[in-house]
Amino acid sequence: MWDLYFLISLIITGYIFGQIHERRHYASLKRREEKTIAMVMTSSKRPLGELDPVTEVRLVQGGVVISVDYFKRIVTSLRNFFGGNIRGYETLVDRARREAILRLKESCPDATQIVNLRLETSSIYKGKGNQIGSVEVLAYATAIYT
Amino acid sequence: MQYHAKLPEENPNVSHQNPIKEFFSLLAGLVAIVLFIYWILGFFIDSAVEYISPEMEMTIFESLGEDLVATDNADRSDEFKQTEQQMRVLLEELTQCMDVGYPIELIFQESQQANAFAAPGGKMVVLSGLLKHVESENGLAFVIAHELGHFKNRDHLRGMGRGVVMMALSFLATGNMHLSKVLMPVNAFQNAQFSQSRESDADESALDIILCHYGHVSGATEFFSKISHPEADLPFTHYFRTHLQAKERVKAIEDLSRDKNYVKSEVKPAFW
Repeated sequence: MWDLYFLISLIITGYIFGQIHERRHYASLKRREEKTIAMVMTSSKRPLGELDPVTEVRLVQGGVVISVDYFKRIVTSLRNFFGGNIRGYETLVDRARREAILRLKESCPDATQIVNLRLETSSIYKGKGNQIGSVEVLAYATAIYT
Repeated sequence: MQYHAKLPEENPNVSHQNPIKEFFSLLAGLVAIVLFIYWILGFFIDSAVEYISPEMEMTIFESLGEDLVATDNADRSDEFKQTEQQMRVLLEELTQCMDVGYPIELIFQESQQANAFAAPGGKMVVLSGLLKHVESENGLAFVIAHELGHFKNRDHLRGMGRGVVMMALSFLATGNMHLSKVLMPVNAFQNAQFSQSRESDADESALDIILCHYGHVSGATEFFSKISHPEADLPFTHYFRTHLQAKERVKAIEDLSRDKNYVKSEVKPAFW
């Protein structure tokens, strides 16, 4: 019986803290995205328009690792049984992608343009039964200064 | 061409669904499926049990008893051994009233817990804590007779079969140890539902046995009336109880003996 109480409390704790974290993170993402929206950033190989004279070109990157909470882990395991969208992981990777891009932008606030933006994702810690513990997203790009 | 950055109004990368609602609907679906399979397999187990002859059962579970007997045989007191011997005699006498098809071996174990159970292979385990809760030989005889009833009805095999099926199912369904715990209450609830009817059947057999042996049914409710008092368990555990709530059980046994017009008389004093 105690096993069950323990599990339930883990799920509830996971849900409460996971939700608080997620809400705060989204609020922070929104605020910072609005702040950095003016920076020109594309995934194209060449810069937009004529940039003259280019003074500096630099590889910039931003990375983040976010962990999944216990509630999401349980919901996901249940999802594995029936199929369908895994909302828990959608928000997880969405947050990670946006955070990584933001960190990249924040690492070169004076760049004229950021081009060739690429994203890499990997899962860290595949625990027992190949469960995903946390996700890493790395954003890298070329910053051009004039 | 002009570069124009704009944030999306709504996040298109995330599905909008209430996570708690999602959790409960998924859980309910899984529980429903597991219960259904468990229920179907229950029928298979019951029919399989019919085909397991007592001899076959003895052969399959022969080695099980060895572990049970081997424990702490050395440091037992003479008094303990004597009680065990007398209990075996009592069991022998009781089996004459009901033929269960194979010899039953009584294993008396030192324990704080007040319990007795029927193990596969004709092993009846009695925990010594039980003796604190019965005051007469008749009281003890009822508990032993109750276990004999389980052997007669082959409940120990049914129960074990269901346990194995449930464990396998929850594992298959969830794929990991963490999650199979989510299904634990379902297992317990199912088991309790199943067991309650088995327990009543065994009680009924036990009444017949002690009536045959003593000529009356006094002392039958001794154990359950004694344990019905200090049951201050966690709030919702009683839904999951394998044994009917003690009070209800005392009442059921009394109703039954009244319906059958079983007589009551003096109980024999305890031998321990």
